[in-house]
Amino acid sequence: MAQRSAAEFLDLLEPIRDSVYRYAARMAWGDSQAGDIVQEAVMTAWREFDRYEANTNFKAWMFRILINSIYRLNKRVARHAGPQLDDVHQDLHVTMEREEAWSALLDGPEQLREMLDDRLVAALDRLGDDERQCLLLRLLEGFSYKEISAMLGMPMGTAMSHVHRARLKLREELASLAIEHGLLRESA
Amino acid sequence: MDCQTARKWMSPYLDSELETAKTFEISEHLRACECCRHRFDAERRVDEMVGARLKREAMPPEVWSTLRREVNRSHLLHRLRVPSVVAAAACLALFAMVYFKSGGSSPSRREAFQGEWALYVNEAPKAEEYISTDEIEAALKKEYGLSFSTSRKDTHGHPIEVIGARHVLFGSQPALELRLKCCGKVAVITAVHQADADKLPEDLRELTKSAAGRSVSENGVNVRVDSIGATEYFIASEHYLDGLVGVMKDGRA
Repeated sequence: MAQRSAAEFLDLLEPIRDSVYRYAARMAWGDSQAGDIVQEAVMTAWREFDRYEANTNFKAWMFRILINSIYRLNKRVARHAGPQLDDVHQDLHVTMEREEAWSALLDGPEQLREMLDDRLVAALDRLGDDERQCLLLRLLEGFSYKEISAMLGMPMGTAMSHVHRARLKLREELASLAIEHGLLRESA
Repeated sequence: MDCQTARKWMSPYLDSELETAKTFEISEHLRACECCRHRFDAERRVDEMVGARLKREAMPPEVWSTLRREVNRSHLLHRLRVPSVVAAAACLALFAMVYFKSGGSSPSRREAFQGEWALYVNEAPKAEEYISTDEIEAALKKEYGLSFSTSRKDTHGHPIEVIGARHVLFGSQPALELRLKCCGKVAVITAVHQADADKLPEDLRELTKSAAGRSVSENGVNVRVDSIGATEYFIASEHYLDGLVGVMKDGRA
């Protein structure tokens, strides 16, 4: 049990509470588990708070605990995710016209972005766990590859590959959706 | 650099994780290759969309409020192992028992209550149990949404003196106890979150109903329970409570 003050702990936690919650929400296997995961992670962090070295990166420290809680709690529930996104090979087959159209499309009207936006979360959820967590930690939480590799206990190159593959898969999924809605032509 | 190599490194390039020489090579390639430039722009926009979409997900206020409470509660449970800190609840529980005559309140029970009350009001909490005067207002406001006033116009002219305030366990629930003197008699105001008050032992829960907004008396001790926002507070004293009712204020504004 931490001897340090609860106020000090809560003051450090408050600015990152949304990050903690949304990461748990995206990584939880069950429907309503995010709250349970966050509670377990926060109470574990609070019990271990004496081990946190003041003025070091609290967010990285908290996320290491959060990731462990996610592993532990996810094991208790049956996964009911749909099929994962297929691997994308280095796709030089995509023509320049499509690249240009795709790029322009993302610059396009608000309703288009909204349409993609709605499907974005579903596409993210269909990434593999490693890809999703590496992408979220990098893109959303701003951790470096080095920090991610330390948090997840994987080599830095592997973390980098997961981020890269996640980006490719997301991009292809969103492009497919745009083609489905007639917003983009399939390349020859 | 060819397109295949440039695309292989595009992701760490976007993340600014490449060494300077490689970053320069890719920048040069993007300047020269329109197709890869479009690809790079599209990837950057997908990143922005993912970021913008997911950053809209926030921790629900009730989850944050539960976390705060659980951390504070666990802190208190750990810190408060001094038997005296349960005195407020024990004393008021005895008061309720005598008042409601639960279990056939006998004279010995009444004596026990008087003894408990005397011990309680005469108890001198250790100095380190009290929070500093500066912290009293902050703790009341931040944790319970209350403020307090000892101004004569709020106390019907009764002189009120603050002895101190401390975090206590009240029927195993975390609470803040404000110890005062009203016309020289000790008065104790114990603030507890509504949600925690609902978990108090049955006699104390009964007392919160019977003494809600009115003073009830037993063996010369007066007790009254008021609430402001989501906080309930018990006022107990041998002094009439009319001067003490105006002490607690809504501190949420």
